[in-house]
Amino acid sequence: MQVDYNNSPKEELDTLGTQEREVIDDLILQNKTLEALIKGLLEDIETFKKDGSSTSDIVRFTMQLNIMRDKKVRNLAAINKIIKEGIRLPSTNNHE
Amino acid sequence: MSEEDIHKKWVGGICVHDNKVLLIHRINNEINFTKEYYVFPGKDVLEDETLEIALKKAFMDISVTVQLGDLFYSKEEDFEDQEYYYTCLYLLGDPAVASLSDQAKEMQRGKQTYTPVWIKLSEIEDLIIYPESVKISILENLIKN
Repeated sequence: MQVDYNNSPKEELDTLGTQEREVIDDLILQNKTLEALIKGLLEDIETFKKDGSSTSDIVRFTMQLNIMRDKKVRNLAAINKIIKEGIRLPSTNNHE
Repeated sequence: MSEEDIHKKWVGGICVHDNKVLLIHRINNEINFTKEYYVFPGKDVLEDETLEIALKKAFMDISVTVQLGDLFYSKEEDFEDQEYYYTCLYLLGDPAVASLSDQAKEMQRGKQTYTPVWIKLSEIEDLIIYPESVKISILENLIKN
């Protein structure tokens, strides 16, 4: 089951330790950056297509786009894993 | 061909992260000499390219993603190639020559080596880094401030 961090019930997130929360926050921040990069790359690719730029540029930027998308998916998977394991392992809880 | 046509435009990136600067370690094994030095990531700007696109490609070639910052250094004198160096914010990636890059192709010929590396800012003073004017500018502006 996929856990959507943004829509997770508060009590599920409350069970996470400080360290897990920090890692999740970093991954979320990284994904926001990735989203901005993906948007920029899509715009670049559109511009290349309109300008009739070389196919190699389009291929190169599309490859980069795929790397960014893949990284975003892997970050989401990492977030889901941390949430699941954090919930299963009460010993990692670190309530303040 | 006019004088203007033969002048190239070059764009480079000054990417500083964790008190280290991203440089390309170069070993040039041409026929009569071997020369070892460092350069900043960058490339020639093609006629139909913007500086931003050219710089993005230069960093893609070393598997690093950056966000373009401010102009740090430029050389726009008449009758010479133009050079622009921008500060770049490091975002992602472990520096490595991308397999489809021009550098990878050149390395396969065995005459040139390109290795992107993070170098501590405190160590750059003793290294051969081209262009030296950019290195001096970094020493004066980034390190001393």
